[in-house]
Amino acid sequence: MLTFKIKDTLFKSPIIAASGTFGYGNEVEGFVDLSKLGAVITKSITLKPREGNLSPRIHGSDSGMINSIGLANIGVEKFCKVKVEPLNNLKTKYIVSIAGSTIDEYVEILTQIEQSNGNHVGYEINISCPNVKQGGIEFGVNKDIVCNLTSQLRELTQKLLIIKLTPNVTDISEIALSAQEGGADAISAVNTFQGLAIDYETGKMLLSTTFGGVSGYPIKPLALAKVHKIYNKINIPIIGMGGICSYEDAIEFFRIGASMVQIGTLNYRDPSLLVNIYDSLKKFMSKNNFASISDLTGSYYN
Amino acid sequence: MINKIKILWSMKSWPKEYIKWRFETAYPKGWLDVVSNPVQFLKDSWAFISWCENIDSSINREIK
Repeated sequence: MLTFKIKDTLFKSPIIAASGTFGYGNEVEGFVDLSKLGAVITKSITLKPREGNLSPRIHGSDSGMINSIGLANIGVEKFCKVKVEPLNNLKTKYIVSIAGSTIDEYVEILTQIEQSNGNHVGYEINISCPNVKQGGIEFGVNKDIVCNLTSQLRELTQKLLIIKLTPNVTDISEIALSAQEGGADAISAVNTFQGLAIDYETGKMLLSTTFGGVSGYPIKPLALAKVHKIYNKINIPIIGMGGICSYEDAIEFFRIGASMVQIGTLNYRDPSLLVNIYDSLKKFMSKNNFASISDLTGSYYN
Repeated sequence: MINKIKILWSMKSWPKEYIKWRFETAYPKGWLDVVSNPVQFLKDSWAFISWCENIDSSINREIK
């Protein structure tokens, strides 16, 4: 009932733990029933290890969050050495998130992971990173660069290639279309919205980098709109994300066009909450006679 | 205050590896930053628990 297939990969649940919110994936084993998740997406892996940005880099904002962690991770070499084996033994599938500052870096990272003995089912390409060869603008804001990056990575792997879009663009559906044209198997939408937090009394900026990414419940209506725009433009599956805190939120994403969902910020509260969402979603499907997630996807009317 | 204690108690099953990762996410040097800046860590922890209260109220979660 809750299964969904992307290309040849069957996911037993439409719920995915979002990158950067669930460790590398293996840290939560033992206290989260991973068998109820379709997949876990690792933290974004870069070519070299990164400590990330200076503190403060996370700020809780009402029921949402603003962060500028800065891709802190152990780097691809150590990832292949110490993380791949434990991840291969997870009770669910895993997807490797990768991030680069040039197209060559993305190619190098993906090539190294392809050469490891990982059982990962695919890659999620984080394109919300500054492109150092294009003056620091994000890869994800230029449709030609997105198409070029996607097609270059497509040539390197038969595994799933999922492009994670930034919402901070004029027309997200054009970017999604260019990823599809480049050979993407699915779209993750959306990454965080650009934001800023300041202490009104002292005037102090609350993140060391001034700007950060806003996530969590407050962005849900914004994310729903972005996903729906994409749904009307492309014909590959959409993995919807942005502020999902309950099974009702997940169903909203399915109804406006998502085939799977990712949950992120909620994991900072308690990663085991994803299991509750799975159980409640299953009950809803039975009670309302939905035979599959595909029946829910796009089931809306004006 | 009782609610904050309940929230802390609900995290008792979090594995060490996971807590280590959370520290590495919040601070560039992870554990080292926690140990070398205990006052800041306590302030951040208080803010985090307050944030958890907000989340719980918005998702109507009952802490057991």
